[in-house]
Amino acid sequence: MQIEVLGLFLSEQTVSHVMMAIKIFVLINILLIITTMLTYAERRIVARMQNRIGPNRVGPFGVLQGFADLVKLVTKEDLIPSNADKIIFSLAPIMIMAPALMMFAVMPFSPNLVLADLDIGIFYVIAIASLGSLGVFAAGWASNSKYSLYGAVRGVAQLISYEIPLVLSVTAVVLLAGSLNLQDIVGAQKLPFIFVQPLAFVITLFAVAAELNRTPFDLNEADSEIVAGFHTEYSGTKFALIYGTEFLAAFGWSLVIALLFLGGWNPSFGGLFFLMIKTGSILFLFFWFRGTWPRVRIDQILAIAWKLMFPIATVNILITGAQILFVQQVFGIFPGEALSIQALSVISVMNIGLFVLLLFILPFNKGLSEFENQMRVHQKGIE
Amino acid sequence: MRFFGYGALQGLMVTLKYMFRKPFTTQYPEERITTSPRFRGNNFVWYEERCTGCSTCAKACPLGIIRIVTHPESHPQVGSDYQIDVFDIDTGRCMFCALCVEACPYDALHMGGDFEKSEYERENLVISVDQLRESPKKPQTQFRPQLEAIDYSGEDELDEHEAGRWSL
Amino acid sequence: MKDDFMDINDKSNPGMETVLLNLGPQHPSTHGVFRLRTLLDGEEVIDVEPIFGYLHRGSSKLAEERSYTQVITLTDRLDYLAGMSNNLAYINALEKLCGVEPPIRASYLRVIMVELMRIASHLMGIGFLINDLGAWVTPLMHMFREREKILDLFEMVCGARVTFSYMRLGGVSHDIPDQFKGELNTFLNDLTTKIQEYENLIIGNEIIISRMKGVAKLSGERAINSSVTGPNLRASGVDWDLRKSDPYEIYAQLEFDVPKGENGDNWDRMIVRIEEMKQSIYILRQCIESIPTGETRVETDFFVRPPVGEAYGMVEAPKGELGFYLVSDGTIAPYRCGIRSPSFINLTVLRELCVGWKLADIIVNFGTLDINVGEVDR
Repeated sequence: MQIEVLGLFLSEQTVSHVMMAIKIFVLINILLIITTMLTYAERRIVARMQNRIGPNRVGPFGVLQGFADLVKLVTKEDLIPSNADKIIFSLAPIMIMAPALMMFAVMPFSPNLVLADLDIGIFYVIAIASLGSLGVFAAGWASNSKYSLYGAVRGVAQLISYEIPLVLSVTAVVLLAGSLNLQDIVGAQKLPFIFVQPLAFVITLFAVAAELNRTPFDLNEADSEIVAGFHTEYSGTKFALIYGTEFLAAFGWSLVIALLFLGGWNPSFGGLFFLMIKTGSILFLFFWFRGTWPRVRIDQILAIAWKLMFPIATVNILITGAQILFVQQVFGIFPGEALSIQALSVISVMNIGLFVLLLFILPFNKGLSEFENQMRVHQKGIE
Repeated sequence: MRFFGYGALQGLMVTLKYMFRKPFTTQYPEERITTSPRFRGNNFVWYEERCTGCSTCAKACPLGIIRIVTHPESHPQVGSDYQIDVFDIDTGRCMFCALCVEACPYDALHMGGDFEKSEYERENLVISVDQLRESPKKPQTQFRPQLEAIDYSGEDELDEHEAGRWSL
Repeated sequence: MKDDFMDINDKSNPGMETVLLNLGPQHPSTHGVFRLRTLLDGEEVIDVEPIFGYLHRGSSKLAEERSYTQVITLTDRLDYLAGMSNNLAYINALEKLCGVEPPIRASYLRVIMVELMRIASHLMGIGFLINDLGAWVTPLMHMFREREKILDLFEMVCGARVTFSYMRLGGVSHDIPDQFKGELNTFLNDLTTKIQEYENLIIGNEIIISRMKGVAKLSGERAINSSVTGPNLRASGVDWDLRKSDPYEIYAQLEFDVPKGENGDNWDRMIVRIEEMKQSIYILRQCIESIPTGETRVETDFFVRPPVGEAYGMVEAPKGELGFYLVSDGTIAPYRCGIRSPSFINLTVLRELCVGWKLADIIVNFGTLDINVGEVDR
């Protein structure tokens, strides 16, 4: 009714533009509120893993802690170091946050709730998210500090190295679904793709962890060596933008993984609710990794990307292509048609077998077994 | 059978197990941890009737923060020869080592068990003789085996005959 | 390898441009106020120079103006994480000077306290090492929970949690209360399950193995030449423990193993500390069973005046060999109190460990040596 009222005064096109602007405004607000709640959720979950209580004073059960942190950061003094490049120093947080927000334009939250139904959905997401690395380098360079420079150089090396395994493992999913459109990928998941492509799921999980600078690849913000990496010299609102981007991007990429691998908004009677549960479980995985594991050194990070993930992802694509051809022969499916559930289960059985085999033949530090014998010897008398 | 990633998964299982256990922390202003009877707290318990002004505690202190000034006048109750004018203990610099408590030959000075004694000004941290006279007489059992023999736990106050190894 | 610090303006090698990075006194993870000047080529370390002295309090000079009993309160604060061992080293020296023997029950009590202190110090050392590796305080919180229980036990005995001043000339200052044995048994049973959990969390983790195995090797010969002592020496393969080779108190009557490493890399140094905790549990169980009754202190003067002479007393502290050198001239205060602190001597091999490895390894090497800056600066 309101649209008809507006239509009396303005033309068709302006009305649709105004509706789009309102949708964008509502979406960005919801996303930023979710970001502040995620900072609280992470602190609470990691605290419970360490056998202590997290924040629980501000608001009932400490729920308003994120907002209290935001108010504190915004009211701080805005320091710019001397000899820093003032324009780039101030622009860098915006360069970091904008791609993370733009990523949400193509996400389908339910079968008919999507802001922009692009046909190149997943391609757009990966392309836009890789712009964040430019912001990281700008922040580190413009700070005029050796710690920031180290953080920036490590950050750029890590971010560009891990885009390749990410793209390759997502390609396997795209091959199975037959389209880049995110709605079509979710629709093609008669069996969730985590069973059909377990290897691609694991590689995507760790490549996304590296893209987000999260443990075990958070050498950028290693506060045990280079104090805080590329955002050492930032304080106040600029730091709030960078800190918030980390959680916003985590939410975005968890949403992407849930859409690609866990079945998205299936079953469609409660689409949005189930999607949020799946996203929350992937986010819980990221928090769980953060609470348990130490971090890997920078040369080992790059070695994992180029020597371990890149060959395995490439071979995965070849094997997937061969499997699709085989299944199309056996079940009589025409090329271009979606794969049936029997076809998908045949592929999934083969892939799970290959994944388990790979785990057992990859070399790991075998020097542990003699040490275990040594340890058992010294157990005398302490039981 | 160990495979690639087994140790990492073991670590994850330990952390997951701890998520569902009761936390170890206590929420401070609502709950407090009870201290042991020998705890060396921030205040002192002084029995004026037992004190003779001998200043052994001042000599034994490693930091020299006890200041005692007396004048010769016979004490009506105890039978000693000195009246105490000034007995200052500077708790801002005290390290609560209890060497003064160990040294007192008349069991007049004891450790207290209170730890919530903050002040807004640094000068207020010096305990004067009036504060010592009025503070509650609940001594800790540090270096006082007679108090441990009666299992004293700091609930009711002790008077000067019960607190020492010999009566007055 | 050059002996003095490399010149930053050295243009003899034109392909290499070096960066001087100052891991300054204010840093989240240098275990105290400590400064490291490093010269880096990209990520690789060329030279490391430690600069310390920010925590110097003049303990040796202050000790010349205090009586022998008052110096005990000064010794608590040297290695503030292992106060009982410092007390014991000083009392050892003083008893050699005066010629006083403590009663047997006091010896047992001293050994119980020192072994509990060893467990607490190693828990903290390993916890902060894994924290420096990046595990975001989770193993540290778990180990601190056990350390809290140990500190509660200490509070039950002597009234303080960090600065004990427990030992006296001729024995110990207090006897243990009645509920101490029961609580100690409960704690030891709990600790064995918890150590198994720590091993599940830490050992076997592929990330930790790849960061620590084979990194920063210290050969046994180099360790002996640099006077490194403690778990660092034993991890390099040298079998030297003061409790076995030069027994003091009642260690000659106790039965325990001394864990030894093979390669001397970071991994071995961490594993030796975990094994020493298990051996301490074994010693504690023996002590509790066979502790005799008796008095806990020999009567001495309050202001003791030892005969003129000198003495050197040493113990196996959790960080190495801690020694006190006392010279007396017959008055109530020592003429000279010299302190041989283990962390100060262990620090001299830091440069050899770090050169050739990456920037991220400097902090880890520093953590495995288990340096306490209060002991370095005294």
